[in-house]
Amino acid sequence: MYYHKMENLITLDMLNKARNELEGRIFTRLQLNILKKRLQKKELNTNEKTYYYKYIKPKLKAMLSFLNIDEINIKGKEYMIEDRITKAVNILNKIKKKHKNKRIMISGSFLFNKNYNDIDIFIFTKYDKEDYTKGKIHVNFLLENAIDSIFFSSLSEVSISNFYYTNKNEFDIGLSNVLQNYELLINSILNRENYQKELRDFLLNTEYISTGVILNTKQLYALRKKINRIKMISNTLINALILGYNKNRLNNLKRYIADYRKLLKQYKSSNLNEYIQTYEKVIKLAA
Amino acid sequence: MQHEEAREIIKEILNDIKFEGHFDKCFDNLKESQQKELIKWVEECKDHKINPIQSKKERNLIGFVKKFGSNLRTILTKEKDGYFLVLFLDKHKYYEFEMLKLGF
Repeated sequence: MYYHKMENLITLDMLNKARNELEGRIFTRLQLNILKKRLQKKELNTNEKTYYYKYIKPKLKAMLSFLNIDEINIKGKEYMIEDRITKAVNILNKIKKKHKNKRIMISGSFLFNKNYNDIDIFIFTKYDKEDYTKGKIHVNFLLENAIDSIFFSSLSEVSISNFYYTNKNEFDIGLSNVLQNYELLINSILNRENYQKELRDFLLNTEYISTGVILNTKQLYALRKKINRIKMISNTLINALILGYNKNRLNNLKRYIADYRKLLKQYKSSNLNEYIQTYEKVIKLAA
Repeated sequence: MQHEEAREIIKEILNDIKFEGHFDKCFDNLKESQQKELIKWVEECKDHKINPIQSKKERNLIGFVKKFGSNLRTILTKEKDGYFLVLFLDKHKYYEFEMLKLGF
């Protein structure tokens, strides 16, 4: 769902705190009551609607114009920490000045988690550019076609941006893509490296192929905290493959098992053993 | 250590290897301990001590991957029963493009 900027930037709490300042100076008591009702998501009657659209909304729009706010698209407001919204909008407005006429989006844990490491900003461009970090702000440049990816669909579910878009919600995720995700994830864990990015991609893809649901960034964040053992990851893959692909496609796993058995003769690697065991279980269950 | 010296050492270990990505610049930006770690890792790849991954695009291609800090990544590719091919070192963004290209 898309919200217009005004309903996003003003909260009930803000209205209650500023009521004395606003009443009589900018809004009448009646207008403030109607605004309050609107923010509480209560239905307005015909008279109230007229007041709202004719008097209240134009005043709000004029007030916000002082803050140089325009075209702000907030999605997944219900997942966000209220005071982060205003902060994110301010950051977005600053970034907009530096990257003029670019499509910019803020997403990630800054919007929904009390503790966060970075403020992730995504700028969509025609040509690739070097990412940069300034303090806590991490600017990632993505090619415009990234907007059609499952990653974007997940990212944008809880986001603040300066543009409107239609999310793609159907994706064809090939078996080999899921296996690549899984194998890299297991490899990173065994190498004792940071595997959060691999885990995110893996959970996003496995959930989609098994249930058709695109997890948003907050859901992924919560799930990533729970899934931390190789066996849990392998079992997640097994379930996803059984639910997501038919027996014929899963038969391709036999080829990988044969390849990895051969490789095991040269490399006594624990990752290969894990892949083989997992794929064998899938084939057994799919039979 | 400078990248020229590193290239020579790595060529001695792996013979006719190509260097790709922004290898020189990224190698010079590694800490001395990470530079040593990279060379030791290359030796371990040769000695079959590192976990291989197989390309999903080319069955005869295997790779070894390693992360350095939050940004730098390396990929060493090899023909299954043949030679080492390329040592790629670059920032994580370009690593991801390369991994997709190679089918890892």
